[in-house]
Formats: sequence, structure tokens, C-alpha cells
Amino acid sequence: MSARIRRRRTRLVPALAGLAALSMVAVACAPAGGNAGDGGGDADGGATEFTFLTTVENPQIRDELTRLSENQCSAENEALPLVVDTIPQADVNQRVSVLASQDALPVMFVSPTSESKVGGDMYESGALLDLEETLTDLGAWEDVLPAAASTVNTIYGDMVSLPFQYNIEGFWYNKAIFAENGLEVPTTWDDFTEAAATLQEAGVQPLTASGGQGWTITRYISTYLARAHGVDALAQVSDGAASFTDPDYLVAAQELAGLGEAGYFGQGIVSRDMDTVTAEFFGGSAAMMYNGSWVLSNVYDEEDNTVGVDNIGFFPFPEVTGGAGSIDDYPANTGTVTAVSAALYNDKVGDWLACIAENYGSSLLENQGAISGFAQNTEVEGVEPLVAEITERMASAEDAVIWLEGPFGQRFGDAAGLSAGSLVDGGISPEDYMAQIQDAVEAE
Amino acid sequence: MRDVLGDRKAIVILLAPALAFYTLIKLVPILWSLGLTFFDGNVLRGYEPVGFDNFTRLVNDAVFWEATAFTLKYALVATVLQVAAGYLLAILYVFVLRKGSALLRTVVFFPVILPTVAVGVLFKRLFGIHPTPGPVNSLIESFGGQSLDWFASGDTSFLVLILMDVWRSMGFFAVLLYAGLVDIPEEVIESARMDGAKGARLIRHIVLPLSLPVLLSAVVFAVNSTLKVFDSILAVTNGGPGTETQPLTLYMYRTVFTYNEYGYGSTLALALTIIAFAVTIVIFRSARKDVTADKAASR
Repeated sequence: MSARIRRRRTRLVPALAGLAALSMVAVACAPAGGNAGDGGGDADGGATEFTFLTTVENPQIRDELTRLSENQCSAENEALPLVVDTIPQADVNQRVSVLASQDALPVMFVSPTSESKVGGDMYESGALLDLEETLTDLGAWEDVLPAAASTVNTIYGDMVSLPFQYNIEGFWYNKAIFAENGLEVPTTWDDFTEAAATLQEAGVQPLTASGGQGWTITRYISTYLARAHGVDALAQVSDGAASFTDPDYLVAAQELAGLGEAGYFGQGIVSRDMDTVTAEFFGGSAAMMYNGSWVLSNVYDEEDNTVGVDNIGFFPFPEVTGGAGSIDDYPANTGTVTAVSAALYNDKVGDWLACIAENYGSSLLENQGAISGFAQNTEVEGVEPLVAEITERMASAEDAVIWLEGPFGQRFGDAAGLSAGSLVDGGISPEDYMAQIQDAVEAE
Repeated sequence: MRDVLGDRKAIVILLAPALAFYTLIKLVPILWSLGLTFFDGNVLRGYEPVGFDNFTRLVNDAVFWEATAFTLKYALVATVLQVAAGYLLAILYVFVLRKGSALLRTVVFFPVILPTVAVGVLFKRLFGIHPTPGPVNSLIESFGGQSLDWFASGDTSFLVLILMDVWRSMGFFAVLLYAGLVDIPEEVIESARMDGAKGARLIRHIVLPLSLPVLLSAVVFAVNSTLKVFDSILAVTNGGPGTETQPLTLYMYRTVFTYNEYGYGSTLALALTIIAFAVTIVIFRSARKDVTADKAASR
């Protein structure tokens, strides 16, 4: 071998080795093949599967959709098969944002609450389908309860979510305990605090709530404010016309802290979780619990509810004497935001949406005893009395009360929710708490 | 082989893939994160340059200073207790139990291999009050006391977190320091004993100085892991009550993944990196000073 050839080979080997090394790095860094992350879309952008991303914690929607896919919506399912995927609730913000940034959203998906509002990143990115316009075009808008549509519009500013759930909130109470202590259902805040005092004196824990789930406490503040100043009380704060530190707003936190100071919530509210709250109430060791109509499933579950179905009643958050709000206005919500991808929408997706709108309400009530924001187009027999009562209250509701965190962003949600237990427990004063959440409003 | 290793080109070619891979998965994200500190936005909204706004915000952010104070307090207390407990155990293994320490070493090391979140849940239950009082509260009640909601105040939550961290990691530090102690020549110990050094004096004047290098490594390990504590606090207190037990890592996580503020979250990450770096340098410098002082004294 001549020296020239050897020299050439010496140069060639490093060059080839370098090329191979670069190829290996490139291969290692390249995205995985296959259609993962295409969100169930085809080359034209329309859906080829009815992909649905929902939370692990909430099986209700996916169970009912699966049931529909096998029955009333089987034709739609044949044309566009339902594929369900789940993620933990805690991952929704991060995962859905990343999927949206990569144009890899599924057809229908749970969307971050604050980002799905008008002005939020998900909404402004144009990823969310306008459901009012779509369902109107499909002739299915009539299948959405007006109160549910109004709730979605009030909370998010636009129809961005399908109302798979429709809940009103208020106080659930133990009828037997009330009767034993000669108590009537309270209709004013003063009656309510008097009833709590009576129960406390009788050795019964009047209330239960969870510091771990701050909303079970912050609802007292927002609903008290709505009763005192009307349903636009929070809108006035977000518009800058009022402040949480104003004396007439501060009183809501002071009233709540007063309930805690009197010991009405029992010991250990800061670390109490939601399972303990429901166990305390349905086990008969607490007389009242603020919660949503979704607990109807616990009411009719014999394992959960050991005090008996007939002993459970519901009353709305009491009026504040002389206040501008009405007792007929309920805090309402439509569950987690379930949005539809604007990019993947096509006729087959439209068929699915029309079928859901037509059948979901009756199917959910019949199979799971729960109430959604869709009309019940098929009569369901044997509806339980308490379910019927709640449905009637929903129908009679005039305005929706927005929850404390509703008009604000996630930072506010943390500022309000993480310290809610401490407000009741005395770890933070009402003045400091309201100043803290007002700071969060201003920071946003 | 000598030809290959003597050839610079060959070395570059052999190292290039690993170096390129390391650069891609380590250095690029670090530099990327550093770059993000000058931007505001997220993956959905896109990014816009904001100059030094994130740094100005950091300086004026009360939550950042609260989280920093908690992080430093946690790192200081946890480091001291972890290393002290580990050192005492190592002394127990080497000088008391000697060859019979294998079983105890295994038992004490066991929590190290448990998932942090599982340990967190265990301690939450241990100090819990719901649905029934946990073992600690039951013990208090059995002595006529009243159950305590340990997680209702920042101080008691801090105590539980420290206890958990020390229990979980003292086995690791015991093994690490045990390796350092067994390296001390037996003759040195024996001659010190013959000179009359026993018990605390032996530890203070012989064992401690000779095990200083490994002790320093243990402190650096402990400081860096406690400054970056995250999962155990998330599992036990979630930073609460309020934000009283929120370390910088949790604040950073929330800022990025809950509030979708990638730029400010990266600024918090940079601040944490600088703190960890500064603390490590201070430890090394102070250790070097000691060594220099020792040398000077021996002249």
C-alpha cells in the first residue's frame, strides 16, 4: 500500500467515523416514529378517531361516552371510533399546553380552566372550537340547557366547554340531627350561625370542610359576597371597582373566620382531605357540609352514606339580611373544561357532538343518577326524590354565582386556596388573608 | 492502542458522540433555560424578550424571599442533623458494634431505598389527625394530652419534614462516613489509646480530624440535596399551610407548570443554582482554610 493511499485512508476513516457519530446523535435526538401525538388526525387535519383525553380522577364522562358508543352513538362510533386516554388532573395544565403547542391535541380534551377563558392562552391560540356556533349549525343547540350554557358563558366568557356535568352547590344537611335539635332549615346567615351554635352546644360538630381542598372553604367567601352585594361582587373586584380589603368585602372573611374560631368545623381542618369530609358528613359526625350536587352519587351509595338517604337534605347558601343578592342564585359549574379541537373538527366529529348532545343527559341520569347540562330528551323513570329536587332548583336558578377563583388566574387560585384552611384555623387573620388575595389580583 | 490514544483526531472522534450527546441533553437545556430568563411567555403564547424584567421581579417578589428563607433554613437544619446522625451511627458501627454492625447498617439504610413519596405518605399518616389520630397523636392522647394538627402550622410542619428527612437519609450518610472511618489506620487509633485518649477525646482529637475529608463530602452532598428538596415536601405538606413550607423548587415548579410562566420560572431556577453553587464554594473554601491553618500550625 502506497504512502499516498495510506494517508488518504487515514483522512477518510476519521471523516467516516465523524459522520457516523453525527448520524447516531441525530438518530438519538430525532422524534419517535409512528403517529404518536397526531391527536387522531389525518393528513388533511380532520379526525380519523374520536380521541378523548380526560382526567384519571373523573371516570363519569368516559364511562358514559363508552356506553353511548355502544348504544345510541354506535353508528357515529363505527365511522369515527372513540379512543379514550387519561391523565392525572395535576398534569392537565402542562400536558395540554404542550400538546396544543405541537398541534397534537386530541379531538376532545380536558383543558386548563384559567387558560380556556377569553384572554387565556388556550383560548387565544384558537385551539378551542366555538361550541355554540357548532352546535347551532348541527341543530343541537336546543339540547344544551340554557342555564348550563349561561354558566359556561359567564365563567369562561364564551362557549368553550361541553357541559358534561352541571352542578349547583349549597349546604347538605343531616335531617335527623336537625330534627333532634329542633332546627329548621336556615334561610338567613344569622339563622345559619344560630343553628351552628345550637349544634355546637349540643355536642354535634356543625360543619365540615377540607383545608386540602381550599374551594370547600373559599366558596363561603364568594357566596357570602354574592348574597351581600349581588352576583357581580367578584366582577367589581376584577374591574377594579372594589377591593377584597374594603370593609364590606372583608366582612365575608371575618364571618368565615368567626365560624372557625367558634370551633364549628372541628379539629384539624387544615390537613383534612375530601374523603374525610364526606366520611364525616355521611357517617353522621358532622351536621352540615358545603358541597356540589355531584355528591348525589354518595347520597345514593349505601356504603358511603350510613345515615340513610332519607336523612340527607339540601338548602341553598343563606341570604345575608339586607343584601343585594338572592337566595335563588346558586354557585354553579359545568365541571372540568371539556373542549373540542378546532383543527380536528370535521363532519364525523359533528355527528358525534350531535349524538352526545341528544343522548348524554338522559343516559347519565339513567345510568349514573347524575345531572349534566344536556337536556333529558328521553324520559327517565324512577328518578330519586333528591335528584328531582336538585334538578328543579337548577331549573329555577336565575343567575349563577361565580366562585372566588373563577374570574382570576391560577396565582390567585393558589393564594386563596392554599391559605383557606389557615383562615378558618386562625393561622392567618381575615385582614391578612384578604390583603393576600387582593395582592394576587393586582399581580395578575 | 498507544497509537490511537496518541492521535488527537482519534481522541476527538471517540469522544465526539458522547460529548455531543451530553451537550444536547445537558448543556443545551441549561443554556436554553438561561436564555429564557430574558423572556416572558410559554409554549402556547410564544416568547417575547423582556430584558432584565424577570430579575427585577425576582428581587421584589416577597414569595421568592419567603421560599429562599425556608430553603436555607431547611438546608441548614436538615444538613446538620443528617450528617450528625450519620456520623454518630458510623462511630457506633466502627467503634462499638464493629463486625456485628452489618444488620443494623442494613436496617438503618433501608429507608434510603424507599420511594420518597411513600415515606411522605407514611409520615403524613404517622402525624395525622384524620380520619383517626395517627400513632404520634395516639401516643400524646395516651399520656393525657390532646391531639395536634401537626400540619396546621409552619413550625410543626417543618419539624415533621425535618424528622422525615433525617430518618430517610441518615442511613446513607452513616454508610458514607463509615467508609471514611474504617479507612483510619488502626495503628493511629491504638497509639492514641495508649497515650490515654479515650471516648470523646479520641473522637475529638483523632477520629474527627482524620475523617474531615469524607465529612466534607457528606456535608456537600447533604447541602445540595436539601437545597433542592421537592418531592417529600410536595407529598407531605404541598408547601402549606399557605406557603409556609414552600421551598424554591416547589415555587419554581408552580411558576412554570401551574402558572405557565416559563421565563420567570427559569429565573427562579437560576437563582437556586447560584445559591447551591455559592453554598458549595463557601463550604469548600472554609474547609481549605482549615487545612491551611492545620499545615501552618504543624510548621
